[in-house]
Amino acid sequence: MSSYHAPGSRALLVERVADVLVPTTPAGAITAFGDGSGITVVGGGTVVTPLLTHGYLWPERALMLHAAGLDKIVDGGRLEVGAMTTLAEVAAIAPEPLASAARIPDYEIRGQGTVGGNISVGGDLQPALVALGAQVRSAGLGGERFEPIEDFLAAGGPRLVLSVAVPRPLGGVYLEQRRRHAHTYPVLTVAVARRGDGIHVAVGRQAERAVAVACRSVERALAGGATPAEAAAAVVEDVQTEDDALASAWYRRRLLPLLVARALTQLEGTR
Amino acid sequence: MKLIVNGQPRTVGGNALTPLLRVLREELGLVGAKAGCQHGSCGTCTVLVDGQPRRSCLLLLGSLDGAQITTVEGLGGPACLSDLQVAFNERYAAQCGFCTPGMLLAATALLRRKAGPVERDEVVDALGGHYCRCTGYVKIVDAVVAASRGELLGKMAVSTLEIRGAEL
Repeated sequence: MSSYHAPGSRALLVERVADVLVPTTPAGAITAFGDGSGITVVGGGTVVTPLLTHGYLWPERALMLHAAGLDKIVDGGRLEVGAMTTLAEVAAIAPEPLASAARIPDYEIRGQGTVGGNISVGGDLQPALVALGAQVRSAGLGGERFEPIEDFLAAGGPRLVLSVAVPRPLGGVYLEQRRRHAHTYPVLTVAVARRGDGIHVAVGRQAERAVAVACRSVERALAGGATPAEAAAAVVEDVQTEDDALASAWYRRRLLPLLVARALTQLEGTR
Repeated sequence: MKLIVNGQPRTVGGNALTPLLRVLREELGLVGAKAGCQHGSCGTCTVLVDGQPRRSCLLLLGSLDGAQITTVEGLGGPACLSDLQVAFNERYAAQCGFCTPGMLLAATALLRRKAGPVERDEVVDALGGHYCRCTGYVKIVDAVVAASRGELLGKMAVSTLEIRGAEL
């Protein structure tokens, strides 16, 4: 299918869509999602829309969440953000390292991309949420779940993200290896957070759509009194680096301890 | 589906999963928003949705019922250019012009947000998702900063545009 249709012609893909669901409550969204089989979820639309336009996705049923009431923010002892909260809103209210992670996309994408979508497609928020010890509320097969984001990411399967609970850390830093321009994914991202039980470290962007990894070896080294550089050297035990079009596994393996050490050093400066 | 496009109520057909860009260009005949990359990366399809700059290639019609859309056609014509458009013309901020609609709308939103002089880094942040493959970024930033400060050179720009329009 051509991605562009001359004036007067009709787009082919839209004729193929059998059913578009637009729930107006969270409960309606959960019911519409069901077990997630055979349904395409449209949150902010920044990921799904190009797939539709270019013919990579031909949904039989689509679930549009813009009116589902999943954009609530509760700012209590911890921050609870609905799945449809935009990255711009997160950048404005969230603690570090989450706020910086939400600023990675450009202005327009920040205003449209959502927390739920970002988590679901391996976006830049993942390592920040892992480092913060965030918990994800989701719906799908087996009913509703509320669990640590690491468990949520590990479980996989189609889930409808409803909200994310973000504890307030004592400090945080988010670093990315520079991209060549605004729309290139970062080569590597590192999030560190000082929490009540110590410093937590996570690495993201091992490749497009990769899942963030908690760096327990680094955390143990820090708890044992290691310096940032010493602890960061252990990150290669936690993270299996990967090749992709942006960078080689070799490059990432070289870069990773340096970026982790830099983040930990900066975290010391936030005391 | 009802939209308010450049101040005019419009009723549009199409499936809920039709991108706004396609509706604007093919159903409403508003071709100012360009079909560039069509995956949200280049910025030239940017329009204002309820006053906020958004990629029209990434927005699905089903999420927009009742929304107010402003395209570059709604900013002003040759005889009544906005200050930003005048600044773009005076400072040679448009070369091939393909990125210009998106640049203008994103910058218009910035100037409305700030409601006063803007710094260059603010412009760079606001336009960071917009490609100019002529690489005319310096003059684009110059124009936005100048427009924010009311530093317009005169009316010559308008007459130049009118002459060019007549030739075309």
